[in-house]
Amino acid sequence: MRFASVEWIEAVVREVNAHPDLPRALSGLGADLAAVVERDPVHFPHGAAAWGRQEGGRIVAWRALEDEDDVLEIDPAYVVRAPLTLWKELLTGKADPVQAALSGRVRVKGDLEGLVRRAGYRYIVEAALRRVETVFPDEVKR
Amino acid sequence: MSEGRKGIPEALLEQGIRAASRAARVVLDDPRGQEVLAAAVGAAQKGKRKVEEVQGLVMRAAGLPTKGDYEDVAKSMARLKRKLRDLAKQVDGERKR
Repeated sequence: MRFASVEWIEAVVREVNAHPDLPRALSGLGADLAAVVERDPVHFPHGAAAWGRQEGGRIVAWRALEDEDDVLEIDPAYVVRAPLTLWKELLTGKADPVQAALSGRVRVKGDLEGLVRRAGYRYIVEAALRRVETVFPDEVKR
Repeated sequence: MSEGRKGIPEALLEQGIRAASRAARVVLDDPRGQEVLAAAVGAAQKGKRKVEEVQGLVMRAAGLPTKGDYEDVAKSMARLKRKLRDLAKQVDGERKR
């Protein structure tokens, strides 16, 4: 599945929601989050953005955003923004999300303290991503 | 710049980043370290918010727009952009009928 496509997001959300530890990980966090993949002139010229809302310990609503400026209107509790290359490093486990956030490579808007406290739950997302076949734009043959 | 032609400042910066990364890794691997780091991040964010609040008050007193004002304008622009997009879709749909 192509990274950041609607099918890919749907599959990741399904896998994340299936994890038994998710309610504990989400407890006390803000209601919604937007993730923005910044434009890459070569491999990802249009960029991508997605939004999700949690309630009762699971992701209850999500959508791929047509335009990353939609994030400004939604004004979610968290916005995580990074270029494609870094998202790839994060999702493939080559970069540490907390280190990336603290160093400013990933730009996080919102309560970073709450996210750092839950860094130990990153295995939920890692497990979900292992189960979802992901093809990154720079791996697509032209 | 190639690896072999780095100046002293660049090399020092790189070494510093590498050392900080190693230190962060040690801290993050320990749950107590994670707690300390989270508290430090929280304090830093709180401090930043306070500075922004004061900055906002000073800007407002001087009759200048604050960061919040710019954010409100950006939000309104994003809403307008989305409405235009929705409208364009409606017009396209009508045309196709």
